[in-house]
Amino acid sequence: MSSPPTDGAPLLSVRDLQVSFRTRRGPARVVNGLSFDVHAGCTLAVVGESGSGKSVSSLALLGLLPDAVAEVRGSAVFGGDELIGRTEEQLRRVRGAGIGMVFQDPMTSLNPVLTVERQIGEALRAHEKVSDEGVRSRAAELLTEVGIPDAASRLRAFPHQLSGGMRQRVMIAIALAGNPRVLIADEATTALDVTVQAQIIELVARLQEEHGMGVVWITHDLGVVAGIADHVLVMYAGRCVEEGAVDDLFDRPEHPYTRGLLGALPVVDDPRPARERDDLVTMPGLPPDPVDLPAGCAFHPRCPVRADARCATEVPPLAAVSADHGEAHRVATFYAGGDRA
Amino acid sequence: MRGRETLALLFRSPTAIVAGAVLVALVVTAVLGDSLAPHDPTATDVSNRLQSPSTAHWFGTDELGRDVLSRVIEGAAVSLKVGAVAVGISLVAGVLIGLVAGYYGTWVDDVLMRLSDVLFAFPAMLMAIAVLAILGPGSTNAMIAIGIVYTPIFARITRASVLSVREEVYVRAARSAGAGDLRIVGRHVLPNVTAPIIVQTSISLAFAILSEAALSFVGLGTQPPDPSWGRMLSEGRGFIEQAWWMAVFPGLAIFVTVLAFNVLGDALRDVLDPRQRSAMAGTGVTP
Amino acid sequence: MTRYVLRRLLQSVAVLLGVSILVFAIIQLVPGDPIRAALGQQADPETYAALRERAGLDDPVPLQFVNWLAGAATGDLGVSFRTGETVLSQILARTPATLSLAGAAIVVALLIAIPLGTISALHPRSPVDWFASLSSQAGLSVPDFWLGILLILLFAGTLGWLPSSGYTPFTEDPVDWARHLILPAITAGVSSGSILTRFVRSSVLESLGQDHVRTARAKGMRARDVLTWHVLRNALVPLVTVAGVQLAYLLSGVVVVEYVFAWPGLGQLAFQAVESRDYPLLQGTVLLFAVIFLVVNLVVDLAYARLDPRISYRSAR
Ligand SMILES: Nc1ncnc2c1ncn2[C@@H]1O[C@H](COP(=O)(O)OP(=O)(O)O)[C@@H](O)[C@H]1O
Ligand SMILES: [Mg+2]
Repeated sequence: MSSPPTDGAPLLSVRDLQVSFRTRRGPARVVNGLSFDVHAGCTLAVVGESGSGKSVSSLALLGLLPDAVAEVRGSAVFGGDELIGRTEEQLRRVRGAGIGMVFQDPMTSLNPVLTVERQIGEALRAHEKVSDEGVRSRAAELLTEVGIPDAASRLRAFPHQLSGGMRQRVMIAIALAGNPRVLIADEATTALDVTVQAQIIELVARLQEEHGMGVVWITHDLGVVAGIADHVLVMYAGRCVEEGAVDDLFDRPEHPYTRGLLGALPVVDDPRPARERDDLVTMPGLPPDPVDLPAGCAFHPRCPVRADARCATEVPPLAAVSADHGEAHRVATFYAGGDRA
Repeated sequence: MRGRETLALLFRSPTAIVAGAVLVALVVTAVLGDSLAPHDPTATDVSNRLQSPSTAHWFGTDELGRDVLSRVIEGAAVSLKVGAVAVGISLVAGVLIGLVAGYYGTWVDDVLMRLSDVLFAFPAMLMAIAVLAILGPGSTNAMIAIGIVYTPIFARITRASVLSVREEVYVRAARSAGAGDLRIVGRHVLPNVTAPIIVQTSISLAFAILSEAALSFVGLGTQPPDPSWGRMLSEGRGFIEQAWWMAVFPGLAIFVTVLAFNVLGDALRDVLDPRQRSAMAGTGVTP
Repeated sequence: MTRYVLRRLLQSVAVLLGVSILVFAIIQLVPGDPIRAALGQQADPETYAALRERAGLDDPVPLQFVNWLAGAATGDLGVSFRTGETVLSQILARTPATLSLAGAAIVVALLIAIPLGTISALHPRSPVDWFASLSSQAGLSVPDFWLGILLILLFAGTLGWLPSSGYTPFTEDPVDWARHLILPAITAGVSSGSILTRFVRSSVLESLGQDHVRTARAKGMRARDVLTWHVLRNALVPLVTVAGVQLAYLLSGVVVVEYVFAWPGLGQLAFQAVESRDYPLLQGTVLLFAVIFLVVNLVVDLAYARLDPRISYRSAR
C-alpha cells in the first residue's frame, strides 16, 4: 500500500483489480492485479503506453465495460462501498455523482446532435430533480467555471460549433455537474494541441483545488505528468511496474520500463554497447498481446537488461525501494540496481 | 480465384447450407420436371376439379382438374429460366456499362450515370410493364423487360468498384508499362469487381423471379398453356373461397425460391464482401 | 440553404426532363394505333380523324413533345384518349387513395422495423436477433400479391373481420376507410418493413458503439434514457433517408398490391394507361411519379439537416 501523502482514508481504494475479455482467441487478460489509492486533493497519474490497460481499468471501476465479454474481479472501495459486482442501478448512482469521467476525444465523446445545454442538463438531472430554469442557470454556471466566456449563448451551441479545447471544457463541465469527489481524466489532453493542453491541465488543477477532488490523470505521456501529479503509477501489461511520489520517480526511476519512458538509460550494469542501449529511448517492440502474455515479467521480451534468470519465469513482486517523504517508492523488477527481491 | 475458400466459409453458415440445398433441389426439379411430376400437368379431368389436397393429389387439383403439384413442379423450370436469363441480360449489360463509365470517366460516365438516375426515378414494376407494353406480353419479353430494369444496379456497382480500383498503384503501373485497356480491365479491374457482382447476382435472381411472378400475375408475363407460378396464383385467386390450395402452393413455391436466393446472397456478402453488409438492395437510391 | 434548395430544384428539373423524354421515346416505340385502340375498330372515320387531330398525333414527334412539355409546364397534362377527361383531374381523383395507402404502409413498416431492429441490435447473435434477421429475409422474399391473397383468405374469408377489397374515401366514412386500408397497408408495408428492420439494426448497433454513449452512461443516466436520447435519437437520423426512399417507392404506386385489392390508386391508373395505350395518361402519371420521387428525396435531405445539426447546406455537399 502506498502511504497517503495527506492524512485520512483514501476516497477510492482499488485492490488487485483484474479484467479479462472473452475473445475468439481465448481470454484477453488486460488488467492483472492493479492496486492504487486516490486521496482527496491529490492527483494520481497513471502512465503507460497505449494498450497497457489504463482505460479498461477506469471503465471497470464504474461498470462501463461490455458485460457480455468483460469479466472484472478484485475490489474497489469508494466512500465505504464496494463497487465491483454491484448492480447497474447502484453503479449508476456513483457514476457522475461520486466519480466523474473525462474522456480522450471531445469530438466523439459529445453527442453531435444534442446541444451543450442538453448534455450538461442530462448530467444534472441524472442524480436529482431539477427544473428547466435550474438546469439553465446551473449549466451556465458550470460553463463559466470551466472558463467558457459568454456561457448563455454557448449553451445553445452544438459540439461541432466549438473548438477542440472548448469541447473538452464542456466535457469537464459535464463531469463536474454531479459534484464528484473523484475525477478520472482519461487522456483528456491527448487529442488537443500543446497550448490548449496546458490550459486544460491548468483548469483541472484549479478545479481540483477548489473542489478538493481526488484526480486520476491517465496519460501515455510522462511529460505532462511532472507538473500536476502528486503520485505516479507506471503501468505495463495491466500491472503496476513502478510507483512513487512524483519527484522520486522522476529523479530515481528504477524500472527499465520507466527509464525507457523517461528516456533515461540504465547505465549501470548494462553490458551492451551504447548503440544498442540507445534503442530504449524509443522503446522498440510492442506491448504484449493480452491473449498471449509472456511468462515471468511481461516486460522481459523487450527489456534491455534482463539481469536475472527469473525474469522469464517469475513475475517480479512490487517491493519498496525507499520511503522518502513518507511515501513508498515501489518497483516490480528483479533488476533495480541491486539484488533485493 | 478464391472459389474453394469461399465455399468452405459458406458451409459454416447453417442457413446458407439450407438455402443452397433448396436451390440444388429446385434446379434438379426444373431439369427432371416431367419425370418427377406425379401427373401430366396439362391433363384436364373435369370430374376431379377443385379437389382438396389428398394422397392422390398432394396439392389438390385446379378448376380443370389438373394436378397442382405437377403444375408447380413444371413451373420451376419456367421461373428459374426467366430469372436466370433476365439476370444474365442485366449482368452483361450492366457490367459493360459500368466498366466503360468507371474506366473512361469523363462525359461518358456523366451521360451513363445521369441516365441511370433517370431510370431510378422510374418505378421498377411500372418500367417492366411499360417495356412489355412495347414488346407485347410473353415470357421471352418478360426476361428482356426484367433484364432492362435491373441493369442500372449492376452498372452502378461495377462503376463504384472500378473507380476504387482504377487509381490504385498497380493499375497505374500496368498502364505506364504499356498494357492495353482490355488487358488492364481483364487482369486488374474485373477480379476486383467480382465479389460485389456475385452477391448482387444472387440477390437479383431473387428479385427477378419475384418480378416474373408479378408480371405473370397481372397477365403480362408467361402466357398459357405454359405453367407459371405467378399465373397459377392469379388463376387461383378467382377460386380463393372454394380452393385455397390453388393460390397457396404456387405462392409458397415462389416464396421459398426467392427466400433461398436472398439468404444465399446475404451469406455470400458476409463471406465475400463484409464491408458492404449494410448496403442493401432497395436502398441503393440515395445519393 | 436557399441556394442549396435552388440547385437541387434545378437538378430535379433536369431529371424530370430526362424522364419525360424517355417516356415519350418509349411511347413512340409502342406498336399499334392508340386512337383506334380507344375507339374500337368500327369507329366512324370522321370521329377518328377528329380525335387524331385533337391529340396532335399527326404532328412530327419532336413538335408533339414540345407541345406536351409546354402544356405540362403550365399544369396542362392533356386529355385522356380513353375517357376524354383531363389527365390532371384523373390523377387528382386517385391521389387520396394512394396517399392513404402509402402513408399507412410506411407506418406499418416503421412499426415493424423500429422495435424489431432495435431489439436485435441490443442482443446481437441472440435468438431474437436470429429471428429478426430471418423474418426480415422472409418479408423481403414474400411475393406481395401472395401475401395479400393469404391475408384476404384469413381476415376476409375465414374470420370475416375485414373487407377483401375496395376503397372508401376518408371523407365519406373514416371507419370504413380504415377497415379497407388495413390489409393493403400490411401487404405493401411488409417489404419496406423488412428493409428498414435491417437498416435500424445496423444503425443502432453503430450508434451503440459510439463514444458519446459511453459518456452518457458515465454521467449516471438511466439506461432507458441513454437508449432513447443517445442511441435511438442518433440512429434515427440516417433512418429518415432510407424511410424516405421507401415512402417514395410506396407513393409511386405499388401496382401489384393495388391490383390485388382493387385499390383505386395511381399505380392502377398507370397500369391501365399502359394496357389501353392511353399515352397522355401514361405520360402524366409517370411524370408525377418522378416528381414524387424527387420531392421526397429533397424533403428527406432537408429533414436530415434538421435532425443532424452538423450538416449545413450553405456550401456544396
Ligand atoms: N471489449 C474488448 N474486448 C477485447 N479486448 C479489449 C476490449 N476492450 C479493450 N481491449 C483490450 O484491452 C487492452 C487495453 O486497452 P486500453 O485500456 O484501452 O489501453 P490504454 O487505455 O492503456 O491505451 C488493449 O489491448 C485492447 O485491445
Ligand atoms: Mg486509453
